[in-house]
Amino acid sequence: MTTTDRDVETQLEEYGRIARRKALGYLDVDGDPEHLRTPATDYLLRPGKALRPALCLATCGALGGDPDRALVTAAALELLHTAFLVHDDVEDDSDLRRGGPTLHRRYGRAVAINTGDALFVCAMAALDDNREVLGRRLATRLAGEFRFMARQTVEGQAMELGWQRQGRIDLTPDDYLDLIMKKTCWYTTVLPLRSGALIAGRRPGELEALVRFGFFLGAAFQIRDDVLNLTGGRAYGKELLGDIREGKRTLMLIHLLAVADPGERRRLERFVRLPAHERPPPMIEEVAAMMHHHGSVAFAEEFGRGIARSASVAFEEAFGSVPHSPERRFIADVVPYMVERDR
Amino acid sequence: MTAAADRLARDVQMYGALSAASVVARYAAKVEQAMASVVDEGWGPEAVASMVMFVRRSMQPLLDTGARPERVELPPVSAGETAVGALWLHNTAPVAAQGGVRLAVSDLVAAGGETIPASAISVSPQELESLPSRARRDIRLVVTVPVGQPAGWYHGWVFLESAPEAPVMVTLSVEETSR
Repeated sequence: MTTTDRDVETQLEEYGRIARRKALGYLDVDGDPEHLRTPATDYLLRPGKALRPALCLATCGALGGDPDRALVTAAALELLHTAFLVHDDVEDDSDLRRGGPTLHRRYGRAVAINTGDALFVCAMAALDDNREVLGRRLATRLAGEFRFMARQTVEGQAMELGWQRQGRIDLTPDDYLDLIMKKTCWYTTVLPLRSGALIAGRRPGELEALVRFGFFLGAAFQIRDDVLNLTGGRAYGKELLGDIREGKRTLMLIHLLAVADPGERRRLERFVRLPAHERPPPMIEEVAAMMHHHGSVAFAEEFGRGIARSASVAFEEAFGSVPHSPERRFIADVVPYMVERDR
Repeated sequence: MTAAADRLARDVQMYGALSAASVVARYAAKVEQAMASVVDEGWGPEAVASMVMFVRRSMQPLLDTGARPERVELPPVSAGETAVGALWLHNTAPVAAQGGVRLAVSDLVAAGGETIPASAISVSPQELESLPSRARRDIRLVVTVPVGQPAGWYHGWVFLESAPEAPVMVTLSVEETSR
């Protein structure tokens, strides 16, 4: 890990600490805290990257705004993200999250689903508070951005689940990019960047460059996430090879389906059409080995690096005229960090 | 890394960059439009000011009649005939115009006081729910000149009900009916 990567992680931790403290304030509940507050705070108290609130706060600061005014929005982003994670883990039936058991493994599926709902409600409560902090007009605009982005996210998730249910294998890298634009990029990067910019006083018509930067950054982030699921080391907090077990149509799987020899391809097709719980562990290992052997992992890494380069160019478009500041430097440094991180 | 592997890596990087650029171009083009449909920007003073600006700068005949930008000259007709023209309503503002806007027309009046009533003039569409940033909309203007209308130069105004102080002139020559 380079010095820059360590700097980025240090700043991510600091932004995360501030945003999570604010987010935890929305989880104070009347009545019986054990059954709601305890599971709802579980993921928030584990070490996560906090990329979303960090981008929101840093963008606001870099564009000349007061990051304190973006704090409620940053908390809403973290609450919404945590809600998505809880439900995502149930949908994927994952075992690990941030180095510990997933919420439904620890508390059961019913509690996990209810906790995800509660976190979503708390995110909406935070957005309501923006009326006090930012005024009615800007708060309404931000709530609209959140609704739109949340809609994109669930549409993307539906698309991915649909591909798995239908056993789709006729997919291309463009299909994958379309999927992650919806499923990941909107709420991971585009929404935090746009929210920070709006709070800093940018007009809606001035946000287009941030959509491009956010997409490239988010795509590089997701591709790295997918690669780490195959290659992750000790710092990786999720279940290794979980994406293969779940049959996710990652860039590596799409590449492998395109380059495998006919015999391998037939076996792969049978494998991805099985229900997740019927996919045999030895075959999961074999698919991972095939991805390494056929260069699918290297393909995804280079594909992601190319997009990260586009992100660096788009950064200049979005922030090139902005005075240098620690926040601007942080956002610039996040780009290479995305493709080199190990967790 | 060998030279061949290096070239291959660069090619894959280029593939990634170009594929991503293609996807983001599709989304960037529609995001503001999509946001405009979910966020009530209101029809506040700023939006009205933008609309005034585009009326002043961009309301001009769709048909090339040689008219100045702030004047719409309809093709000459005789009494009992119909004159048809068109305007562009162009939102030059960086934000979508939302909240509904109605277009209105005045009577057309000649120097001698002869009048073609506003009821003889139709504007279509007369009301717009919204207009995305940088978008334009064709507006059709139809004047049904009453039978027996005296010949002459008539002029009137088309304007936004929310910004009547920034009208655009409409002129029409009603010619002598040939016998």
